[in-house]
Amino acid sequence: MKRILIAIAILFVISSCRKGLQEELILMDINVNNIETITVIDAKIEMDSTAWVQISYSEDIDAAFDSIPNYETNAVVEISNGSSTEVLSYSGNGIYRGNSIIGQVGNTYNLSVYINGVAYVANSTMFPPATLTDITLTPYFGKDGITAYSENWVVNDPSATRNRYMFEWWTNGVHNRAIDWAIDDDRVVNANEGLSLFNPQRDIYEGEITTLRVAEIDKITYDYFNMYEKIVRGIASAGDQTPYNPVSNFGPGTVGNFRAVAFSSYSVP
Amino acid sequence: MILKISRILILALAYLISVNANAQNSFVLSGIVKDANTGEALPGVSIFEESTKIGTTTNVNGFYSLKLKKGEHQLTFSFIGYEKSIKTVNIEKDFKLNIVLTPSAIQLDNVDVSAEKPDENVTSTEVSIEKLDIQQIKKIPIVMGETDIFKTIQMLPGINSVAEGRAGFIVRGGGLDQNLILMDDMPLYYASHQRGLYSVFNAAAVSEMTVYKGGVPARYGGRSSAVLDVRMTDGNFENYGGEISLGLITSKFSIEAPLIKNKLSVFVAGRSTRWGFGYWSDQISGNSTDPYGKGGGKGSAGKGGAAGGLTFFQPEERWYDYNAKIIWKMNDKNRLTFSGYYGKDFGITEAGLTNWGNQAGHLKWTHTFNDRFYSSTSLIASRYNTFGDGGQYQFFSGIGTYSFKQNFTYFSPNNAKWRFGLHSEYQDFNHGNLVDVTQDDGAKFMPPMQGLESALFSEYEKTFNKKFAVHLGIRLSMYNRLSPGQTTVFDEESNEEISSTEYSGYTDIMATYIYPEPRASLTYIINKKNSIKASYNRNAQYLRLMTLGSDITWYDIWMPSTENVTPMVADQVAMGYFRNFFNNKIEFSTEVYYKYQNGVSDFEDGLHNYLVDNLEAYVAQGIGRSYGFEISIEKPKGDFTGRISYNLGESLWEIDAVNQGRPYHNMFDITHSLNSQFSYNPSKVKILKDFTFSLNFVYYTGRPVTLPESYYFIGNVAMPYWEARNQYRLPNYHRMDLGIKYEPESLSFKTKNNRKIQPSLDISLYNIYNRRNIFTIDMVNNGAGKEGANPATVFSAQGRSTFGFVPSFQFNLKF
Repeated sequence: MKRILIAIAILFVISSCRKGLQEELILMDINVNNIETITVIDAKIEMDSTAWVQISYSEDIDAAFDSIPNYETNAVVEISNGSSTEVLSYSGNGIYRGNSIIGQVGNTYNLSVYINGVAYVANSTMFPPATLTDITLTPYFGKDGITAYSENWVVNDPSATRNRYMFEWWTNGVHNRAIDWAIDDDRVVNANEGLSLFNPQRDIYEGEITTLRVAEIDKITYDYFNMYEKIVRGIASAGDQTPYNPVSNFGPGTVGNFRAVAFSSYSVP
Repeated sequence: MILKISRILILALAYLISVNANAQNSFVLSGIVKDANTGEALPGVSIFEESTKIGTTTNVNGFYSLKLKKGEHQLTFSFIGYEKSIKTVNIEKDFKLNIVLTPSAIQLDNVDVSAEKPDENVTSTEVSIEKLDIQQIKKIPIVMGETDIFKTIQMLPGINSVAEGRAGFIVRGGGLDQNLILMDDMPLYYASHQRGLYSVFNAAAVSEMTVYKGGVPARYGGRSSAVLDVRMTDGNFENYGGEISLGLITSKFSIEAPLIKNKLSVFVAGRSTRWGFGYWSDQISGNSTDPYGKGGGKGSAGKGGAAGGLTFFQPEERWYDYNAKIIWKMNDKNRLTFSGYYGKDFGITEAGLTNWGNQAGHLKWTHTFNDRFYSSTSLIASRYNTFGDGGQYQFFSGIGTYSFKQNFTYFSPNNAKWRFGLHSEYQDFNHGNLVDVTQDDGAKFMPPMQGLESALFSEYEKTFNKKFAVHLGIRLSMYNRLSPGQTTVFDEESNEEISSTEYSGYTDIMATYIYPEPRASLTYIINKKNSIKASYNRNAQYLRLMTLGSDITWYDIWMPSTENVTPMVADQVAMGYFRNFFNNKIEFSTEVYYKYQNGVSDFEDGLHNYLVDNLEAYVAQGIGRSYGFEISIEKPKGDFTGRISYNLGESLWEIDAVNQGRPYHNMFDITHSLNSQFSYNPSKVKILKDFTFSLNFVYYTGRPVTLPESYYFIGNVAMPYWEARNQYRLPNYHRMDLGIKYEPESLSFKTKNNRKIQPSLDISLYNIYNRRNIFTIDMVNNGAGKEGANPATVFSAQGRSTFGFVPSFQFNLKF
């Protein structure tokens, strides 16, 4: 009897210990300050394409979810390539589109957004398209024993300068704008040309066609997407010491980015 | 400059010696007090002369020195836990009297052993200093039955944890890296195991510890907030002994023995998660023991960890450590001591397979010139290394320091105490070396750096007219950044490199900083029960830990001062009132403090990991201010002991590049903290006399955190927006623990060779009312923006809690 009691006591200790040592997640009510609405500008001009701009506003963190974001519909948006300027047309959902100015490598583009008398201005220079020197697919048994391939994309990376890259991909023609992209730079492996810079951490399965685009981007665009990526992929959290508002080339008081980019495109297999 | 100061020190010493030679009406009585059983020197023994009421205490080497007039004197040597010794001496010349004290018949564990005089709290010159011996430390119940130094000091006023089960500790609003952590003078750079759950200090190897929250003596330097000085146990010179403990997760042993009786002693202690009942950790987590297996969940319970349900004790996390101490008494005047520590953690973390650990060694030669003049010469090496194996890439980083210390102690004939010496430390920083195992070349994120930190110091300690006591000090420290390396100019806006200068040689000095660091502690003894104390100290700190999150992690890297990152210099003043009640049975103290720090550093917004080669450029510097009020009531002796302390404080930083230049509470700011610890041994109740019951209660304000105030969409992705840094706080922290120690005398037995074996059992009930304290808050994206998702709110706040109620036990066998 005594032994049974001792055994029960030990089991109790172990099970309580196990439970007590388990990390728990607890939903919380937080009460934060009300702050001024932030203007959000996401804008780009790609090689051989016209400009695209989307403008919206922030909402209080505890506000009820509205499936339609708070878009700006009455802004005046202008883009200039140094020699000509055009006003973009509103096409719904906060989106303004260009019509005449086409993205060309080497040009610097100025974007001006006027809202209620306030001007938001940013500029960006289009670098030549980055190129890949190699694409390697390594087969392995993925989920459920189906053959999958890990990707290794090798960028032709000039060794003399610091370079930053953006990648976007489509699987069977489908592209999820939220997650089907990545950025990388050569800070670790600079000084060697043609090194692996990109591993999208995903599998390709038999029968899938992947289309990849790669472009060189400037530092502020890289920084913007670097922070954006941390949030999207859940790496940054409120437990971290520093805030992660993506830096904007429209200046303080706004979030967003304007970028002029030239992609080169590849398909696998 | 250094040469000049050395000359001044030598001249001052020569002057003091000459003064002594002229004092012929008084003579010096000196000697060493030792334990009769172990032969160990006893520090803190009270020596009291009855007729003149003059007294002193032995120093850390058991040495005392007392100036007495010619004639007969009766001296009382007393130390709690030992039989009193009364000696009558006739002084006609300088006289040497060594004393051996016999431990009293009462079991040591049942009394409070203190290295202090009964009224030490009132009469000492020490301000903002906390001392604990191992018996006090062992009374505090903590998680998993393991006595822990860090948990213990977090019960002291003005000292807090940054978060439950996390590495490091906060002292008066100072940063985690602003605490100098010493184990027998060996600096440790990541003093925790298992992400902070355990400290690297094995209680079996610790004899006492001192925390300097302010009033730091000039012999210490290199950190701007506090010093934790932990002393390892000396080996026994007379008999062998030891202890074995088996716990739920950790098991440990210690053994001490005289290799040559009264000449050479050795002490060895070790702990591991994998010995004995360490196996149960796997049962607790219910996961595979295969460190390479997939079942354990790679998520971390720490910074950036994965979702809930994880057990903090991942079977993939294991560690061990060893302590060793060898003492060789070469002769009456010379003693050689070697202290060593080796610890290692292994784990599967976010970075893959990892290991990290400290290794340190200290060789010390203590020499007695004469009865009043001592020296100690030390060679110390300490390394902290991390290694991560992420498959294709392997990551290495670390810091190594190699130092020479020369300390002199002089007891002048007028009962003043002088200390002076020098300290020189070579520092070697590896800031992260990434090796691609498929290629021949490696890459360093930030180049390795080297530095030399040197200091001269002098201290003077004396009590005047039994009323006024001073402890004065000056430390002159210098830091040289050494080649090879490069100095870089960065663009303030982009943090991109503008230009750099390469120093390829091994003798170039790339940057130099020099700071005088005055220290002073003053005590005015109103009467035997009351005193007022004040202190001022300046501390320069030349290296800092680059930590991003809310706690220290194993992969954080240390960085020296450079041309871009200047040293941190802290000035602290403190004032206190000390009073003892009921014949020194109750000790009361209250202190106010103000600390001004120039050169505090934080990261600019948005830096997430260390994989940048221009990390220096992201370090933003400014000023810090911490101020507060502490109050403590303690009953240190008797069957019932306890302490209640309360701290009210604020700690603010102001850095141009952070929080738009506005002052903000740093993450070490704790407004209120209440610590209480009680222990009761009913020694007069027959059936309970073998039990000691203890209770802790801790309460403190939640630390500041940064939370988003709004959100916006980029594409279909909801993004949080943060307006300012550290605007909000975690929920307040509180918990209560209970501990029971059962040490039955009736179950003790003797071996054939008459050795006593004493079993004991420790039971601890951690967090008895199962409060789930939050250590961080995540903002969880509820999927808004995804097709078909229609959550009530875009984000929801989710707190993470480390521990709930944790019962545990540990079985000990002492021999």
